[in-house]
Amino acid sequence: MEYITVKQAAEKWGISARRVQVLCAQDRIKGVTRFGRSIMIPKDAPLPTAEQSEKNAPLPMPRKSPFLNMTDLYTRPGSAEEAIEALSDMPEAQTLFAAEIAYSRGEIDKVIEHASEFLQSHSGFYAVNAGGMLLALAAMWKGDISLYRQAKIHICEAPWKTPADKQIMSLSLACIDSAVRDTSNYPEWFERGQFEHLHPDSHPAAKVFYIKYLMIKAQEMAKGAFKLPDVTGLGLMKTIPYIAEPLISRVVAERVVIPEIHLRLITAAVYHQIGDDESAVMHIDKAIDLALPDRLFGILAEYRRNLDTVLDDRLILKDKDAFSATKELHRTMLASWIKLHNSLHSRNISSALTVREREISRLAAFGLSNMEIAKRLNISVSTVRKIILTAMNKTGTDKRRDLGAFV
Amino acid sequence: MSAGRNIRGAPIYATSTEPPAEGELYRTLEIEGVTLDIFYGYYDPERERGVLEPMPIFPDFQNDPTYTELGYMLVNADGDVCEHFSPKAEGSEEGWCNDCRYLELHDTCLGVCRCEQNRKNE
Repeated sequence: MEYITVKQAAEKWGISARRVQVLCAQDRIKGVTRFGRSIMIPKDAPLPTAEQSEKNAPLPMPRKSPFLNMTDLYTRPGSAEEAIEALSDMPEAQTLFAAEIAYSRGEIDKVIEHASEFLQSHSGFYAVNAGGMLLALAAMWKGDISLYRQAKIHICEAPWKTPADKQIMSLSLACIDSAVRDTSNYPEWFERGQFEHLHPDSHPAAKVFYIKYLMIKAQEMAKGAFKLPDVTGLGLMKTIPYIAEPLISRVVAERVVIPEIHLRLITAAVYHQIGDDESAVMHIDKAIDLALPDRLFGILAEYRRNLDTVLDDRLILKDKDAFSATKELHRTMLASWIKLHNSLHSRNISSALTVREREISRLAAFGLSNMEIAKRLNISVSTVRKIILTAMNKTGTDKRRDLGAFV
Repeated sequence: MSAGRNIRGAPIYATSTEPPAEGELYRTLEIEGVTLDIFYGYYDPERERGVLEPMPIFPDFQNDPTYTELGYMLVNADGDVCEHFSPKAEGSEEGWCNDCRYLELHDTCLGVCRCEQNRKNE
């Protein structure tokens, strides 16, 4: 029998060496033996499954991603067309992948066309789930509430067979809702972060969903939508990078391009909103380098609003055409997204605020004083006051802290 | 001229979300005999130039007191309150003239102080 060391087992299973030692001490790895002070683990020993109480039941974190563009199909920037071509023997997968790449490029009409075709011709669970999600996100870009609702119905009617399928379904629906700022429908296990983020087989899209969920929750809390004892919204936001950075390292190791772009941009948005633009810029630069070869401007446009002008500044430096394309996509998307959001919710996001007004309104809603805002943005306090007054006038609010509802 | 009304029915003075050019005329205000041309620019040119879009530059009435024909003081809504401050709502968060019930707003950051104690005697 061949044996491996603790360190080798840790690398193989994607857990820490310390964890392997604990599992050995608990006799949970079969066939472990000792040679002197060294622990020897059989090479083909499986990673023991965690014992969990009924309340914290093991999460069958979906091992199979519904999104082909988030798997090892697309591991190299610039290889999207090649990957589409490589699927020519599998027309269903080819259509789905083409739709996903079209979404990442912001080619929404193509997404709707491919996704609708896909939904009409396929009835497998993953096909329907993925098609429905794409349709819902495309509807968001179009501001089409009827299409949005229709897409969600598709997902609800997807023929799930296993509890894992059901979890993918509930996660997909929650992700769609959170795209319009409704985070009330996430499954409890997801909200508690009780899944194996760092497992090599875990759902790459779920990593993206999770960090996005944390960012939205922290923003809502910072803006006063809800409170937690002894925790501020900004304080919560400051913890997100500690969760996000290991996930980024994981997707980099797995070489999945699209989740890496998403994770980097979400993390950059968090860094920017907590005032660490240096770290934000580092992630933005890497995300841009990954997105440019295949012109994935749709993903850049999706996060432009959360990054204020930081993304623009870096894009202009790298590729002016990409900047123009992203800006135009964002302009179209924003108007539609606000229309859809305001149709679904009683709060009204304001479309009249400029970038600067929105940025300062957000910081005011986070509870920063005028002096703190001025210092962070390197402008005068007087200017901050004037911008806040302008934003208050445009949104019709009397209190600066209420501006959060409109951004 | 306002650019419509906000959700509470108050006139919106700010214009579109497209960044205006520096030096462009924002609007001309006429308040009880006083005519003011307001232009776009940067309040803090050294720090703000090149950062983002310019804003309407309102006169600094604290350094250059201006009164209407009826003797009422023109004020900057974002200016610090005076000793006659009376909050228009409970729990006003900032000590700005904007929070004072004597302020009659004519634009986002400019208004007339209707406090009789601040009125200029003829």
